[in-house]
Amino acid sequence: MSETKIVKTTCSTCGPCCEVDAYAKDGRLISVEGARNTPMQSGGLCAKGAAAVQYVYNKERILYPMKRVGRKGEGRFERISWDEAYDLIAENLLRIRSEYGARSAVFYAGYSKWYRPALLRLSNAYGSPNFCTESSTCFQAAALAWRSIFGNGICGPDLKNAKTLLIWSSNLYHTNTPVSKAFQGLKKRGVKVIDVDPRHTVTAHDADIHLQLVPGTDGALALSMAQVIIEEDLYDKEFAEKYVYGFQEYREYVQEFPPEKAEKITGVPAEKIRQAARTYAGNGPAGLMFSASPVVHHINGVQNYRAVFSLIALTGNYDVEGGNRTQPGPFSPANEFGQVRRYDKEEAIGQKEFPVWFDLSCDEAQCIRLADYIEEEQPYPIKAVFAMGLNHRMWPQPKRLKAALEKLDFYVNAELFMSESSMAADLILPACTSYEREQVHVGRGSRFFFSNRAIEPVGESKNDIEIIMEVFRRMKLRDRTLREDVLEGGYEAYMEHILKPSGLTLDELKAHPEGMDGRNIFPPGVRTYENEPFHTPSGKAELRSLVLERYKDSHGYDGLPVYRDYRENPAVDRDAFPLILNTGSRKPQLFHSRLYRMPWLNNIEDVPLVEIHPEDGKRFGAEDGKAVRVVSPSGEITGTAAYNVQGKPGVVYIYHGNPKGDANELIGKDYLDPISGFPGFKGYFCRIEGV
Amino acid sequence: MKIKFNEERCVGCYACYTACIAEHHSPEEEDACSRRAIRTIIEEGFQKNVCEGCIHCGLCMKACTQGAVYREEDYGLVLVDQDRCTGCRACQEVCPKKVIHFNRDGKMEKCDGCIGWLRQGREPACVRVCCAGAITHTS
Repeated sequence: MSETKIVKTTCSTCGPCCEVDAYAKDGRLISVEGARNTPMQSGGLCAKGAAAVQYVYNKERILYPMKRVGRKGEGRFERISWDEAYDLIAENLLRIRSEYGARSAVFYAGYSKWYRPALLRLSNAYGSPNFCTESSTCFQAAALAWRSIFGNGICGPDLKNAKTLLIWSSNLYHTNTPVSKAFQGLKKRGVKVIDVDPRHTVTAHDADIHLQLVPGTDGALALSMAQVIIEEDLYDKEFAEKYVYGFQEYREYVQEFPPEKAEKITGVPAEKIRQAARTYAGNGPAGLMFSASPVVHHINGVQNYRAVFSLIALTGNYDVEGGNRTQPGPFSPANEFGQVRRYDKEEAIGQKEFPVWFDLSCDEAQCIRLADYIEEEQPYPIKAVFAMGLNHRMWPQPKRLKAALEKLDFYVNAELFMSESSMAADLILPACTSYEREQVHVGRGSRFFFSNRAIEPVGESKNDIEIIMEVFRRMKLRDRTLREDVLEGGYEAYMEHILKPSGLTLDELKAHPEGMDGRNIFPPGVRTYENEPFHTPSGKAELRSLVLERYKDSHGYDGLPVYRDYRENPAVDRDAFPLILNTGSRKPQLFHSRLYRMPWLNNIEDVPLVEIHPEDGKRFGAEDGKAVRVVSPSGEITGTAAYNVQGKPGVVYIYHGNPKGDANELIGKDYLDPISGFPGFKGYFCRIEGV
Repeated sequence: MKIKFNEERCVGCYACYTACIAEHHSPEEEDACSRRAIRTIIEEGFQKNVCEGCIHCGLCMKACTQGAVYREEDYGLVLVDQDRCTGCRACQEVCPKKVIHFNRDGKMEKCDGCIGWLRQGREPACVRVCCAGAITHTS
């Protein structure tokens, strides 16, 4: 028997990649604990991370490359060698490129996210503009809303110096459990917390002011807060005058939203709106904490978040201590994430419908309509998808997308698990978890961490970036984005490349298991706009966006953060669908479709759980704990009714991605925000019926 | 040793519930039970699920007619000797936290304070995993 060793590594079951101490014995992962040496991490873990062994040793893990032997989608595969798999990929992708052109291949990054820049390089080298990611339904619309105003990437709140924190729709105790202690620390320090959330969550429970709005009315609430701030003379006049574009028009527009009127739209009492506005503007500096999806999963999502982010400019809380800062602490640069530009010399998918996505570029194409492009061959045929971790349940009407994927000429999916999306593939490649690979982590600010391999890869699984590199080599491609061939030098050289700008070497980082600060450090920034104009067309913070206005005539976009109410939808018969349907709000034990296969987590709730207010249950004959049918204008599913008083009557909450009844089947495929293409996952319509 | 649970601080994340299963079972044991129990707290317009655990009060020990439940000496934890358990469930009746389960063989199962971990110098899994500081232990 060998000794138990403790390996400094990371969990990558969801997004934040918490640092973990992994206990391994006889080559097997036996337990995990949250690392205690990490800023912002309490030392604990969430439920998902705590169940790591059932993730790593899941019976659905793919153990070796497999090629399809049955009909498409039938799910019959046979084991092949890695060598054969790579040859098949090179042969098919090169054939499709010569027959249909490089743009007919989509390179898709689903879960996880760590290899995205490398996959983008592969897509560029192949010559396709169609590098797409799971962010076609997550985060990027929020980033777009921000960029349309401030011209840069989203700036987080400077928590250390804030006196007020405005959390706009994040149940952070459940989305990022390990920050719990840091959040509680703010409360102890006396920071006033305002939480905007349709539900009375545990996070809202700990807030000083909870604004419990009807889902999707965020824009009206933010505009009303602006109305109060302006009327009561609490705004930053100097900032508005010198650094804001469109202030006068914005000022006039917000007059349409006095709190009494906003109360009718949002359900938030007028007095609470006033109180929140006075606290945010008057008890500064105030930081605003955004979240990736809830606000932008509405068909007026981008404009709603623009209205929210406008409050930062209005109150002068942009790039000041305690506000939302470009760089709140020391910063050390790194290569790869955010550094690789997408090949854009040809029209990408989504470009015609969602031009602002490309003008305010996030270096991805927008693939929300992927099924349409495959089916209709417009704007041009899509014949191949080279995917890593593709999950068709991230789209509305997932069955339709899966059927479209089965029509492709060639579809590869690299995955951890034998997922339903993999069943549609021609070729499946086994990827490994973070416990089975080495990785350089670029932390916040100036922190770097080397994530060690705790155990050897399960089966013949491989690290995603090594897979990308070998595909690149087999196709004999050249990287056009940089002079140096980053994908050619091997994985060690790739890790060294990530670190290079920081001034650290891979060897020294490996020798410091607790992590290190970069050697090349930029000091924290404050009021950077005084010396450098905003990266917007006007050079100012644009409350009236000139980028959106480019498409006023062609796409009907407004420059101002105009509020449009999704409930005023003539196409939907509200008598037939009287309830609002909100899907996919975080649950602490689930992560999209990935964790239903983990019994320890899945057994916690009988899923799919249809969470309804008891009043609605009684009104519509759906009993607590009994089967209930949910019908929307686009589909129906059956789940288990769960009475829950966190939300107000009139709204039904269902987590998504469950093969036994996927809430995303209920969302219309064309029910999209016209600016971002994001589906209205959190503001659609339904009725419920007892079964 | 006492393991304390602060209901107010609990954020209902199920981390302790899951860590408890992971500590006591192999990944193949799909229907494994946590030795913590989920309870819903409902107030006016608010609810949360909390996961309560054994506080090692010893009431089950007193109720056991077979002498199967005992307090071990090193840490003062209340443990069960499953060989002596007859599955009468007298212990379950008196448990104030409702955290006693019976396994497939009808044997009583309860929190063991992760005694194996304690002996290695580690903390109980639920204490170690909790991010909200809701679970603490005192010796």
